[in-house]
Amino acid sequence: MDKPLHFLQQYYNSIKVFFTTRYDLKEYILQIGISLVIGATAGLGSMVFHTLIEWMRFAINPSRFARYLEIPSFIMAIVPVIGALLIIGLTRLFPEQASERGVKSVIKSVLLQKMPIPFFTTLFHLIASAVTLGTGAPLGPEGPSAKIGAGMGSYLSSLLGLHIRKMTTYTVAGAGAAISAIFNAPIAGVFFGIEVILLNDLKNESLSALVIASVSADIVSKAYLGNVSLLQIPGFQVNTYEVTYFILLAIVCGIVALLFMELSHIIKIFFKKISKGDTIAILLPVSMIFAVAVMLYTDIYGIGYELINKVLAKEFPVNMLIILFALKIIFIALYFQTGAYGGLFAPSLCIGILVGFLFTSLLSFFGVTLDPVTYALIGMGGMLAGLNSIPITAILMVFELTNDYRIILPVMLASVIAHLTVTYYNKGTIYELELLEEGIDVRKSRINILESVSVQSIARKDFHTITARSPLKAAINKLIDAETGLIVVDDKGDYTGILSLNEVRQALLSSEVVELLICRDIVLHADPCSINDSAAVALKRMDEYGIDFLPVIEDNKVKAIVLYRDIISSYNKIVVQMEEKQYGHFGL
Amino acid sequence: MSSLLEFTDSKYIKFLKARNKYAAIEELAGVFKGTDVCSDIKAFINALKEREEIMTTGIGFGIAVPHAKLESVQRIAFAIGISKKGIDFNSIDGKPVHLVVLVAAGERQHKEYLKLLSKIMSVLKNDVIRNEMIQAKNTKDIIEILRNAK
Repeated sequence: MDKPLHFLQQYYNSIKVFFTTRYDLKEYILQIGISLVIGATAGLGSMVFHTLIEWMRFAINPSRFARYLEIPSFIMAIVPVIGALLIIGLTRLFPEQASERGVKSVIKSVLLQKMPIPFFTTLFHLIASAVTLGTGAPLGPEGPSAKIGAGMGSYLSSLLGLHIRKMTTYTVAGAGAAISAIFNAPIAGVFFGIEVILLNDLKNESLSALVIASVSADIVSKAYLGNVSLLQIPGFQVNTYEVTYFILLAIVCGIVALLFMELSHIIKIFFKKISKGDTIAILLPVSMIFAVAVMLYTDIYGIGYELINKVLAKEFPVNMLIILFALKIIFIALYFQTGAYGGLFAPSLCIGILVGFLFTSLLSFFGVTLDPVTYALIGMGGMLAGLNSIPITAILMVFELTNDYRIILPVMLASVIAHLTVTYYNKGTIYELELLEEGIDVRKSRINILESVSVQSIARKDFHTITARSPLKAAINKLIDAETGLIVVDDKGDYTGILSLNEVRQALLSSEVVELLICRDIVLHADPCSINDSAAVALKRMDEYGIDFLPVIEDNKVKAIVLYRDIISSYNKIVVQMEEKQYGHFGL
Repeated sequence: MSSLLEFTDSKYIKFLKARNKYAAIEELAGVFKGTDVCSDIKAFINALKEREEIMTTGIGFGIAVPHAKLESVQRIAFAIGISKKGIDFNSIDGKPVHLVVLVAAGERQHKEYLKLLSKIMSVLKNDVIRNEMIQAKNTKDIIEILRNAK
């Protein structure tokens, strides 16, 4: 072998030895590589999503389309109704994929390590969200983007055969990367991942992957979109001595965010009540009302970027700003609570701009002259932080959208104060409260394992019932055959309570008492659980009553029972699985 | 369990005028009116009657033990009613009832309730004590019988 070739061979061997013996280094390099690929893929996914929305917005833009067809533009207000029909159809066709929507579902997947997210679910959300936003729904693209990015990260990880722990890491990275790409804001994307998906867990091992993937996604986004900002921001003046007004606006943003949440909550309860849980069906009447509103005020149509730019260009008088503000708030809440596929980031920006402008208009009546553009930008940050519980992401997103360092200080104040106002009142962030509604309390130091186990998965159909009027003697005879206690029902078969061995044992103190009693006398009126409850809820109730089983009821009829020992067995299984995930493998 | 006297009082002992079981229940439950035992006497009487409709608490030997657990009962207690003429209680042995022991317990006083019922039953199954109570002339005698009962 000649000398140069020999040298190369030696060099190659030494590199090979270096990489094969230094396992950690190999892993780090691979992690960087995979993060780059996942970031780029999530970025591409976001761009496909963005293009689809833009294409739909362009193709079926009511005024443009009406001009082209030579029909009156108000007829085209029907577009949101057509969109609603398509969304309802898609949701009905794919109920399983539709059920896991938005940022909350990504947090759940990461927290409960429900991996991998099926590719079809990601595809479904890409299409359903594009239809929602492309047909004028007043929601934002970030919730679906995060879902799509997370789905890409999870799917690619599973294709590479990665371990579930790593899969979770890249799911977080994918979600942050998609936000980076869709808003063309890489730092905000990273902090979105930290604040929203990782719930402020700064020690999480996903951090480095999240940073690399966000950068990679933003490169894709910039290559595709160029260095174009979503917003056209006119010149503005920041006077630091106006700090009192900055703080005042921040508090106003916090209050508006709280009012929006309250309105949203009322609508949610109302929709649930009238639709018996099938809220997507309400999207049709909501879209019809929206269509009427669009005929009168076309600016409320769509995500809201065009409206933001028009407001910033001072195209509207104050009375119109008030109308647009009210309509935007109402329709965002209505659409969001029907379960339409969209998020609240972009709507927050829009509401924030309007709040800021109205704030300066109001103060001008008292002789205070402030620059409306500056306050609109501050309002944007405050509203984004307040409504979505993302103070740092909000600061960075406004900075990245404006590309102006001067705005940082007032936006920092506004974001933090608005966020604190909301969390002080609500005792938790919007995502924490949404997860709490599903029985997942992330405010504790660690989530309760049993919150991920559903009652449905462990419920048993074999149980014994007895009527409340039966003599205790009969119950004792039945208990001999029953594995646990008995379910006591009334004459109509409705649930009354339970009769556990404990109650009966105490009654056996004297034979005369047994003769005297009927089941109704010693029934324990234990609160039952429903099939949708978590095992944690069932266990808590069993502990409360000191019993080892609990009925599962529906419409006051007993459908199944949950046993204490089945819950403990599930707990043990999950702990073993988690330990295996944590220590049992050395794969990536 | 502690003495039965801890769960009753001379105010809760009554010589009954009523001749049928529902009237007797109403009359005897009335002793808890204005006491700290039960805040809703009407609901308590309804619960006792409802229970009686399902199955008689007339367990024979001239005794009836109507009882109910109720949210409005704040303190577990029992009342004693004596009827010299006897009450038609639909008893399982068909004989009239001369001694009514009415037990009130709170919804969550399950253990105490069963223990009290058990104690009452073990005292009443003693023929001598039972007859002494039925023959008692006044409330003092009954309190004395309960004090001596083991």
